[in-house]
Amino acid sequence: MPSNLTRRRFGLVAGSLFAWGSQPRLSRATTRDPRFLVVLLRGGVDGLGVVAPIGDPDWASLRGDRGLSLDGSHPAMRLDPMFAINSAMPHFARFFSDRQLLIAHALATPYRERSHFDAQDVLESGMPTAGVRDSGWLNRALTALAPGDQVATLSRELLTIGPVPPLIVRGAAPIISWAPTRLPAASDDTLMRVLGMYQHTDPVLARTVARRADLIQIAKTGVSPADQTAAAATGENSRLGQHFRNQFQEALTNAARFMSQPSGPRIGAITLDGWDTHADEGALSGRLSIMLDALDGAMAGFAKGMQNAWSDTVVAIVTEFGRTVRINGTHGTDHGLATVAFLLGGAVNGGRMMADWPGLRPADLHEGRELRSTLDLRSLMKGVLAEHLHIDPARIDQTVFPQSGEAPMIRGLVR
Amino acid sequence: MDSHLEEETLLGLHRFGLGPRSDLQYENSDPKELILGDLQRLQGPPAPALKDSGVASREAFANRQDRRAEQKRQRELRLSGLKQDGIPPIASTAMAGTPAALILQDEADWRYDLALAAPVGLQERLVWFWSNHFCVNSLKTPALAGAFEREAIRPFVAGRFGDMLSAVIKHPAMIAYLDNQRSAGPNSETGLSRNRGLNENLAREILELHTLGVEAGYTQADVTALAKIISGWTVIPVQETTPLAGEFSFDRRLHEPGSQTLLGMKFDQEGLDKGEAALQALARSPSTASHIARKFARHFVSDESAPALVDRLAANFRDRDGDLNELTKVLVSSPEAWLSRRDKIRRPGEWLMACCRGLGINPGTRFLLDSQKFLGEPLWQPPGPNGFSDDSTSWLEGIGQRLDVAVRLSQMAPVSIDADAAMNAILGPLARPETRQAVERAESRMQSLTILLMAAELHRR
Repeated sequence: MPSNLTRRRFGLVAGSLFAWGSQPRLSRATTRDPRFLVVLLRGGVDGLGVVAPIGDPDWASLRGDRGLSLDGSHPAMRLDPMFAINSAMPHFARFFSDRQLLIAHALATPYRERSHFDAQDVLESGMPTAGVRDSGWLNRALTALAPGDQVATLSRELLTIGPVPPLIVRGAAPIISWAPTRLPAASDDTLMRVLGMYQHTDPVLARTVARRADLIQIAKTGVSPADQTAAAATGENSRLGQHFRNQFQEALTNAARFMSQPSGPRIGAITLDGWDTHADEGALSGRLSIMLDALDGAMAGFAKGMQNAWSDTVVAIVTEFGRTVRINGTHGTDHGLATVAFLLGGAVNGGRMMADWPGLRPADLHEGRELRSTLDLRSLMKGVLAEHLHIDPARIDQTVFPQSGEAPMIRGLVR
Repeated sequence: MDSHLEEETLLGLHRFGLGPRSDLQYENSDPKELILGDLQRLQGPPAPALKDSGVASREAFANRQDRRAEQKRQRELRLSGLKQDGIPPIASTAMAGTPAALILQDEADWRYDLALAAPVGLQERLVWFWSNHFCVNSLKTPALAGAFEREAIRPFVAGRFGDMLSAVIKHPAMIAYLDNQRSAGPNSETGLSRNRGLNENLAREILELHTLGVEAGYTQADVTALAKIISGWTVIPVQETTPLAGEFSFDRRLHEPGSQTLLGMKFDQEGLDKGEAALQALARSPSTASHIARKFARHFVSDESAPALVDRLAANFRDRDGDLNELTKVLVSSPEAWLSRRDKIRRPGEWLMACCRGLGINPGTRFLLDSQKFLGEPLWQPPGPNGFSDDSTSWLEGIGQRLDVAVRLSQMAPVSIDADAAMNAILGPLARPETRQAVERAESRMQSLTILLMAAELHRR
């Protein structure tokens, strides 16, 4: 870690740690018509596989040739002296250089266990612990909008895409949802899990289901993508890519369609599944890179679809937890703690990393296996709610993110 | 409840019923009694909106749209048959809105409501079994398929086989489905004057499918004899302006006069009685007893049922004159019917009910009808008079398709449902460790429910 930066426990002085860019001007844009979209990446995204600390001397040895680097066949794109972003995300790199993307790292919710369901509950409920499922923080934010404020008048309902409103949008405030009319096909990930289940419990069913997905081909060519012939790998990967590109594009194109309308919803959330990369994570050229490519393209499409409203937009892209720093025995990673989050949009005061880097030496890690958290996600969200949506900070602490004293608001996130 | 008792109870609910309901506690000390108790349960009267088959026929005919819609539907059927792997649209069939479609929808509504509400579901399973044994196809008689099951099958599932047989063969839906309405004895009044002849379809299927079974050794002469015996069993044309249009009637002008010999027995009664007597004789044949016993065991227990079980069922059928209440009791009381190995693949309709009951959701009739169709078991539309196949291999291929339905069902489940709790309620000790693990390791709540609904233990019973 660069020697001129000292690690400090977050919470002492908010804001002073982040000295990269110039001091942002705090502006209250009274003519602004703000949009806020939360994109929930379900499964626990491997933050280190998306944005890697290439400037950390302990990084290269941790993941060897499965880790992002500035060299090699899929060179990561440098963001600053410390970090580089996955080569599958050229649009994000451009947003970063256009100062419309802010990337937070070593960030986590208050949740410290490893269950997807509970972690997602904490991520979406805005509560410090799991088990509280009656409303989501975005819904409570809607009701906390200053009455009479332009934002409140225009933001009557929460938008959600897909047939099942996620917890984050549920609560007292109304929801408006849109879902594709055709029957959605099951994701590849779900299919693989079912197949795995059958291989131990009912081989006859396993054969049948495998036929449906042409997975016998994959089984014959071996589990690891590295063992497949390039052609087979390309075939399978391109099918996977097609699947994710379609899915992500559909969700985000439609979100933009609604949110850019003068009379459309202003605030919403969508979920994108499939990020639980326990095996064959493929950050460089496999599954993760394919999904990041799909996300990258879909967000570019969203920005385009928002048209003039893009300059008033903030998108928060978040996930429930990160993953282990080391690769496991099946070329993947297991559930971890700290990870990345993105704030993307024309209204974002971007072009910078926000990270109090905890380091990657064994002693620096959480429970010896995961990136330690030095930033609470709620701090980031509070900043957006206060300065982009003009919600009273006292109300945020009281109703939107109760019991969040350990997560002070971060200012200056928005232009 | 101790684990072994719980396992037996769940095994029984899945094998003989429609799977446990999420909101019921099945506390009991004897799983067999729990299952058999369902036979005593009285059914509520039909929903007032349901129409008698005669009324249904007349109403459907009155709407001329039905005829045009019929053509469109046939066309769409041919088109959808060409799709290999596409997912059919959720939108309803061509007939939507016509009286016949509405009648069918009402009937389906009621049927699904009963199935979802039944505490155990043995009665429903019996209705579905016999309805498949004596099947008709709603594509031919859309207004009548639901009424047929309700009028000719349901009242008899714990009654006498011979009574069910008689009601079925006299039902307008069956007469129309197997083309008996214009069958005329060669020497009947109409046969002679209009040069019309016998249609053997219904007679053949009575012998081959409904009673004796194809290996019983009846001859072509027997088929013809039976066709003559039931000639005149017809339906008053629905166009006629009589209050009984569309209902069963015995038309002497179509009936072949004189006595007939069927399976070595002579039938010379007058009018309708001749056919009734023949049907009862068929019901009493030992071949019928064996045929029914094999099918019964095959449907509920295993494709290759223990010979002892089949023999016991056949003997009971013979000795008790086709008392189906007794037959069911013998089935549920037989140790062979409780084997722990669960080989039978649940048919799509049964699987859907188990899922919905287990999760406590009602996705609506439209969804259930579309899903059944998508999974290859469209309600009341069997591929032929022999009904939907009852052997497991036929339903194996469609398991992959069920994944898409499972995704939709898990999307509909209320967020408060916990997959672990649901798994314990639906499968309990029947769930294998790898299944539990797969459910627990899911990436999201919804995925955990999808994986649960796709558990092998839920596809088999």
